[in-house]
Amino acid sequence: MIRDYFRVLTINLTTGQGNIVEVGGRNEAAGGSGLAALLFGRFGHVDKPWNEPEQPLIFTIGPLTGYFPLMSKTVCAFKSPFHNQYAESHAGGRSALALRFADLDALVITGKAEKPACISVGSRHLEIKEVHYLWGMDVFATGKYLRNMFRGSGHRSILRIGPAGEQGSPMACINADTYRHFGRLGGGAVMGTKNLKGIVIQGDASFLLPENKEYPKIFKEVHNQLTDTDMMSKYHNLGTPVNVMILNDLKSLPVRNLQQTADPHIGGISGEKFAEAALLRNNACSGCPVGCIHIGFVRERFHEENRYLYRQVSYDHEPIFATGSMLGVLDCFAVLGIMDVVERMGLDVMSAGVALAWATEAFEKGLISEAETLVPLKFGDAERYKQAMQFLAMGTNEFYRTLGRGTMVAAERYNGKDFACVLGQEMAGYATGEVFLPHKPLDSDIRTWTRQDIPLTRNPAKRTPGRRLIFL
Amino acid sequence: MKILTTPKMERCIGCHSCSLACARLVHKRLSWDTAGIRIRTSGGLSTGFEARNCLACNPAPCALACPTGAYLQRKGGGVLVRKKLCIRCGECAKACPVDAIYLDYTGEPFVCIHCSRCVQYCPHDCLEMKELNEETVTDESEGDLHS
Repeated sequence: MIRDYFRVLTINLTTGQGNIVEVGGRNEAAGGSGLAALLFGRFGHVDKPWNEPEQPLIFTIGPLTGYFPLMSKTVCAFKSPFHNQYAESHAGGRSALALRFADLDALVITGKAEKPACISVGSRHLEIKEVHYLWGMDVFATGKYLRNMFRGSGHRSILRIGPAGEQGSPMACINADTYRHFGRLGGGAVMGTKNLKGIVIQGDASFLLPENKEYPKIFKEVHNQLTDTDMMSKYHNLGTPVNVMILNDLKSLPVRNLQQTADPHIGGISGEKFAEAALLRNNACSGCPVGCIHIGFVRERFHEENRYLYRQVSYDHEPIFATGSMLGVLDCFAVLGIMDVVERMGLDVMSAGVALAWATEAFEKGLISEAETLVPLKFGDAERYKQAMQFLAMGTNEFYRTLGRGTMVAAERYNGKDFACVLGQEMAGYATGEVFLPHKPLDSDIRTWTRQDIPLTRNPAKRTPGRRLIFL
Repeated sequence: MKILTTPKMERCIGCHSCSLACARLVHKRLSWDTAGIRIRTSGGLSTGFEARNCLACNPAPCALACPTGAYLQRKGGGVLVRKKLCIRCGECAKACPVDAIYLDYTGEPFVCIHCSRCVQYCPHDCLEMKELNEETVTDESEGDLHS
């Protein structure tokens, strides 16, 4: 329900107490982002580290959430373990509508549970349950257990972390309803440091609409625009993976740790290839008729007597770039296999892929060896990457713990900063825009990097050795 | 007489556009629950989606169970609910063999009235209005109550 103030539920994991706070600012704070920033201003501590228990983990929605199609995302805000600054991450799944129908504009979680805990919240209940037996479980197993452990089903969102979040990795994500994520900047570690394994949000309220003939008309108009025109066809059709071939043709696709920006064999992991060979079905975030979640499958023979299992793995451009082109893995099923490990571990796929891409080049150049990487890393070797992803999530050794804190952190320790593809955080799957070669590595804050040299020409033949970094 | 059917649920993406449409247009609510059709998974999001909606029984167990006559059997199948006669006892929902009646937390029942308003909102054409098979109507004099 829309009120002229924000209805915020705060939950203190230390005391186990919840509180309803009415926060003003409805006419000033725009959307979930505005509200999240407003709430961080009120509940956050800029001068304290990210893992101080009092720091808030904030989930917000906007005024249109649930009222119109596509208004289906939640904003998650926190002080990031990656760079100790304010961060925002967005996800859909069922989370936004679940918050709307739990009759909340925001959820603010502070404190730290004594033992691993899960919050269950709805429009008429709040429970904090101790779940020490779930600690250590992967994201999918956790989801299945949480489904059964809490009453109510169907119209609820299950947010959870995997081992990466439990380990406090700044590359840990929060999984939202199996196929979506609060991906970047370490939201998973914020949950982990609070001993918060999961959050189940039941959307069990309903609201009378005001007497209004306009709203259903406008809803219908918006719905028709989205579904009967080609406005959303990119997402409804191949999804963001359509970008793989487009970027490859533009020579702007990061390949093998950006050693190349195109590959003649990229067709093996194009959006078209995924759709033709590996797309099993589509899913939607609740409230959105576009349904751009693309779920691929991978079959795995686990015993020589032809015993098979299958895995369902959601894919998009960024995961394909991070575990495919960036790692030189050019077979769609091999890529899905790596993505599946990343999912189960609860890692941010983008950061993890770029981190291992750097590690592979560092390995190639002899800056690190198997003493650090535990398995030989080689571009294209998907099976090794599946193992390396687990080491990265678990922080198995000093090297992987360092790498988990950020590719640049590892590059500073082991050398190789000039090929660490980091712009503030690990790069995204596009290498477009102007191209510069700074003579020193980029500062950790994307806004403070400076151009030290004249820009390179875009002619690859004239490219000088060193990293071709990009301005995004 | 046409009823709502859900013949293509393998295509369902779980967007809830149908439920939201019913709630919005029939019941004047913002909800994915207070609707004649509701979508849930078979057992978690990896298992696909199912619809829960009235299958237009004739005779309808919910109508037989209602102690105040709030439920009217429609000729051919299905029911209409006169909310003013409803005392929110919940017997209708208990009687429904396919869990098609939703009770909100006040006990108010919500059931599909086969009006077809939801059909156009499904992006994958999972829903269809179909003529009730006349052969399944065993006794046409039963339930001859007008809405």
